[in-house]
Amino acid sequence: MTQAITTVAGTGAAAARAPVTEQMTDDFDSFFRSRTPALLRTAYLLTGDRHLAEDLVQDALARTFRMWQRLADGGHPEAYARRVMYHLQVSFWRRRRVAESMPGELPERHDRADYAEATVERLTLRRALLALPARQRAVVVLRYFEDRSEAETADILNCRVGTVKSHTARALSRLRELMPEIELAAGVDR
Amino acid sequence: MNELNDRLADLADEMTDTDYTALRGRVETTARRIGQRRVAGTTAAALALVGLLGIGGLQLAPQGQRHPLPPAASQTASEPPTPAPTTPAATTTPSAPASPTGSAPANAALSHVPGRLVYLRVGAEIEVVTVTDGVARTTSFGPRKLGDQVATVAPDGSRVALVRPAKDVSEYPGDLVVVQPGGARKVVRQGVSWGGGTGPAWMPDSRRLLVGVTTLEGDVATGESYGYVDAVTGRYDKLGITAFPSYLSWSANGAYRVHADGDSLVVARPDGTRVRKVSVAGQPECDRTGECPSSVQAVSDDGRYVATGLGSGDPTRVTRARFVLDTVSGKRIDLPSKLRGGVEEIFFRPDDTLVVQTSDHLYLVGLDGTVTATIERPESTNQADLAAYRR
Repeated sequence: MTQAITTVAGTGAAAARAPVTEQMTDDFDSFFRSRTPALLRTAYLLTGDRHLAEDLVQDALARTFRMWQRLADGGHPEAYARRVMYHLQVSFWRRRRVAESMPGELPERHDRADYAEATVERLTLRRALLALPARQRAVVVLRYFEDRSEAETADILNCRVGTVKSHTARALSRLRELMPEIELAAGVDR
Repeated sequence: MNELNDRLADLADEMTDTDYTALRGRVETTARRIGQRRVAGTTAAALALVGLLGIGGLQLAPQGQRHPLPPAASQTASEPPTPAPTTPAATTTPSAPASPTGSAPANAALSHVPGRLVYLRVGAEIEVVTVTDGVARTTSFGPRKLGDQVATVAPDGSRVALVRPAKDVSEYPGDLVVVQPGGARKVVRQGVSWGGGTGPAWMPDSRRLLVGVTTLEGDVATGESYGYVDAVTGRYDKLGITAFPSYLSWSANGAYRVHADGDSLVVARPDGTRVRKVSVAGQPECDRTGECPSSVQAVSDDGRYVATGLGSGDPTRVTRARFVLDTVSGKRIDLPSKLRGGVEEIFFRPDDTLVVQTSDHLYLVGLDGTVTATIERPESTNQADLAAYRR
């Protein structure tokens, strides 16, 4: 499981800030402490790599921090951070780096129900996800991990519901090819 | 929760051992770096614009409309973005539509939208549907091929342009392909960018496109230039601009163009002379969602009104208009409450009244928010995007 955050204090730049900026930074720190673990989990599914996931969250939170004054006053910082994260992840410039870690052959599946098998299953899923184009992977994560509706997914990815449907269909079809043992028929249906 | 949900949750549990203190520090450093980059970029773009105007200002002029700048042009561009009193926009009276079809009683029984609507439908097949004074005609541009991205139709509906990325990677630069009726394809330029508001933009002449061209060394982008590509000959005329005018959109009469510049909209003449720059940072969506309505979708003939969607410079392209902004007053036009949330596209009529497309109807709407006509959407346009409107 993702570890809890106990402290994030002590960054050097925090030493001499104006009162308003300090308050803003404190608010952001609170947000950072509470929401970063969840963002990292999503980022890991999007990138398939711990370091890339941290980089992705770092970039998303940096943009969120820059928008903090607006977001803190009635906005929804986490929604903004997630939206930025998804958009950054499907952008070419970041995707180029992810491409370097694309997987080779999928591991063979073993039938023994033990810890090793669970590990293999996770590895298989991770690699299968990485075999999807970035936007299809984002749709899978939004629909099946975050449990978002098609309309919500379309809104976050700034595309039409029809596009979400086609991405979902293609992604599931590909996942079925790569992981025939997994049950994909009963997905989110809203 | 089905098996995929469970497995994704299990997989996400692998994300452990993060050094949160270090990550918090990196977030702050990155935020500072982004701020510095934006300031530098804005300054460079402003200097480039002033420089260009100073040496002739022939950027982004549609064919046949290039002409020397008026004497005050350089000064206009470098002045603060206040409304220009001599522009047609400043003298327009929005509440007094010029066209007789703008009055509510006369339009109540309209069976079609006067003028020409151009729709693009990209399904298994690429189709352009034109509806001219109520008469619909569908033209096939051949099958959609795997890898086709950001298809756009020329304002007159005669051609379709799309980008085919060289790799199956989101926003990877690709071939700019021009498709003719029937499906004949021709690659007219390689290495064309297509993300967000920086994808190929048709000029009003329906022949040229403004594009960004990325220079690649392997998978690494080493440079980008901007210029016009002729859709027929493939000729590339490079421009001396340093940034792509994001979400560039033209008025139907070709007299004005508007693009997004951060959280502002820049209204300019075809030759690049800036008419005004208006901030949208005060719009409620900026605070509520962090995304300001800056993705320009359509411009009125007098350059005063702009239809926009939400957009914040993220990589995906916004194609849906939600708001109409008055670039002179900076205020938005109130759309009828029954349309809110259902608007798909908005275009302007010559008298500045609106053509509003929803999933099942077309509405003619006055600038005071009055619906003057409600028209069934032509069946042949279902699942198609309204891409252009000309009276």
